Amino acid sequence: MDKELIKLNVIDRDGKKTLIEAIEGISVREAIMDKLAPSMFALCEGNCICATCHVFVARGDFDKLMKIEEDETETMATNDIEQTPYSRLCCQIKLKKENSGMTVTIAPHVSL
Amino acid sequence: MRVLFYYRGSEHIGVESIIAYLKSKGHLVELIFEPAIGENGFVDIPLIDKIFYNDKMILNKAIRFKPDLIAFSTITNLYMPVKKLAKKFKEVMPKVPIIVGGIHATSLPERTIAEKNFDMICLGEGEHAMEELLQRMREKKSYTDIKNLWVKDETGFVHKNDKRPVIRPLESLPNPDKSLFAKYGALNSTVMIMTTRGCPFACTFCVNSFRNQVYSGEVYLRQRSVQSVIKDLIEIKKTYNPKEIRFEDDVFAYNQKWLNEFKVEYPKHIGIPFHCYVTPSTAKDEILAGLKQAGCKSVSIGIQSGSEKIRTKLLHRRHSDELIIAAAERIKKHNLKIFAEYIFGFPEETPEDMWKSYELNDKIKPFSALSFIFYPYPKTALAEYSLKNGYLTKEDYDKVKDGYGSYHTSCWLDLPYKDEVYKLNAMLPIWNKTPKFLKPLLKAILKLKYGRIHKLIYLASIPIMWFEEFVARIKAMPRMLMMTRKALMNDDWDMAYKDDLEIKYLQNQEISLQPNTVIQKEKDLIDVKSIVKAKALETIKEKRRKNHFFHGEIKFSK
Repeated sequence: MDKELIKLNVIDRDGKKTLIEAIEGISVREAIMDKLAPSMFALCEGNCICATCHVFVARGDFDKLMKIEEDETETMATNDIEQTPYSRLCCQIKLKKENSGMTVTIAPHVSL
Repeated sequence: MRVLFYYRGSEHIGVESIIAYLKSKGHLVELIFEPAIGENGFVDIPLIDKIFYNDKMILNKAIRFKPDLIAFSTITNLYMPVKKLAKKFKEVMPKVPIIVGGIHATSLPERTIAEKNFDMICLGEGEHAMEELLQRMREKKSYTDIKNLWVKDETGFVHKNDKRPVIRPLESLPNPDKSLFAKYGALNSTVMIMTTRGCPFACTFCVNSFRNQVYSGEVYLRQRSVQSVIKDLIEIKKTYNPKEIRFEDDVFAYNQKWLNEFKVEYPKHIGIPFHCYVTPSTAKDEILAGLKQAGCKSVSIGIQSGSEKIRTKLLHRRHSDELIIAAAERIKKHNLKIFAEYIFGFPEETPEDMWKSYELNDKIKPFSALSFIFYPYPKTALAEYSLKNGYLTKEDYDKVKDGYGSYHTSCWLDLPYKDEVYKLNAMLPIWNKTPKFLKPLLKAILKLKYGRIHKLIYLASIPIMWFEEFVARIKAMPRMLMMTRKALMNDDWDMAYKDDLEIKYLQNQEISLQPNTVIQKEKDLIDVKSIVKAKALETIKEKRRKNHFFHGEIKFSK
């Protein structure tokens, strides 16, 4: 069965919004990395340990996502990120049909 | 082509990997290795080495080998001896080009290529760039435009070429070749191996904070398959019979799926006790259980500072004290020895902050505590921060860039509490091993002005930090020195080696050209669209790579 193309709005660290398309089933991290490849992003390649793929999911889209797992919560807590109630690590978000049109904002990279 | 490598101190997996790759491409590779036992960062008595070998022996070996290229790999702390030796090589073999690679050349390309005895530098990974260079040299073609290389031409102009994509998959490279290091006795009872390149973290004091920035746009971290690692280890076990394996990855086994396979395969095929690195956040129960099952006996864990403020705000390691203590408890629960590592002398660090490292260490109760002094490695975020905020003078930063000092002995920052840095660094390993009732005595010594007693305690603490390793190294030293002497005097390379590979390569190409072309044409017709798409993607990626070039000011994003 052919997989659908899912639309994803990505707001980068400069505030620029880009609409990208990605195949259903891949992670938001893979989609962003493939199309935009931001600086200092997703350093652990999706292993859920570095938290550099931190994104803020738009409020309306947040509840449509699968429930956050303990691993992700722990990684967010133990890495250098400023969390909000809409924080997610996008390596843990798999794109599904119901997520089409979702908007995510790439969190700032904390620097010295 | 004939390539002569130089390294000193210990075996180096990066050099071993390039050696293996170049050998696999038909080049004749030789190594000059110096144990540098008398200049190890703790002590500076070069005479120890000079009894067994000298520069004359090194230069003579190099001349006898008749290299087409001399290659150095260097970290910042080895830069000075590399520079000195390159000068000597140039004096006796002025026509042989010298290439310098390693993290030092990668982080300071402008400064490194400015050295008059270096003809070119390699930035980033060296395997493919060096092979291309040698191929061009072999074909007598110009090599000023090879990616990953900066090349000085006859006029002195430096050709600064773009960087290559990182090598993927790592299995496309042959396993590192340890044989040249082994003949110098550089491999003792513990053998090093790496399963990854890169680190998933970007701690501000570490070169990975620079490297991850340079390679933004493509993930630098890569991991070898379990199968490839086991195959490599089977060969290592058979050839070198080590008593212990050290996984030198910045963070080992961060990937649970990988570990699930490794924990079955390693004991089945290897079964040698091993040591590896974990972080407080990756030291999870499931990971630790996997490590134990695989045969891990001890882990190093970087605490770096006992002060949460320093860890979080300055080092970008958001590990609370509770998290670190809980991680240590889990490690012990799995019956693994802990080697806890600390650094003293960060900018903004007060004696109270430093003392917190002692307090936290008392709670962790590791098997061993290892301490270091903050060394502002060039281009790391924390070195740049120190410079901008007046903790590091430009003059001292220049000295660091020239490789002066070491993280064992030198506090480069202009801190009001420099003595505390030296004292607390010197005494932590002993403090860790001292029973509680004797600690007031150590406290009293800590209150004294920094002087001989602290230095003596530090020297005495060297074997305490890692006794088994210390004994193994001490035992290996005479053998290493003798073997170095022998290796420098013996010419055991393939005397019949003749560089006729170019001819063979061309002949093979002629034979296989026809069928390949047909297959390719058919493929092209079927898959034009995907090829166009792939090419477009490659162009985008190429552009991204240019945006994250090696030189110029790195903008650490806000």
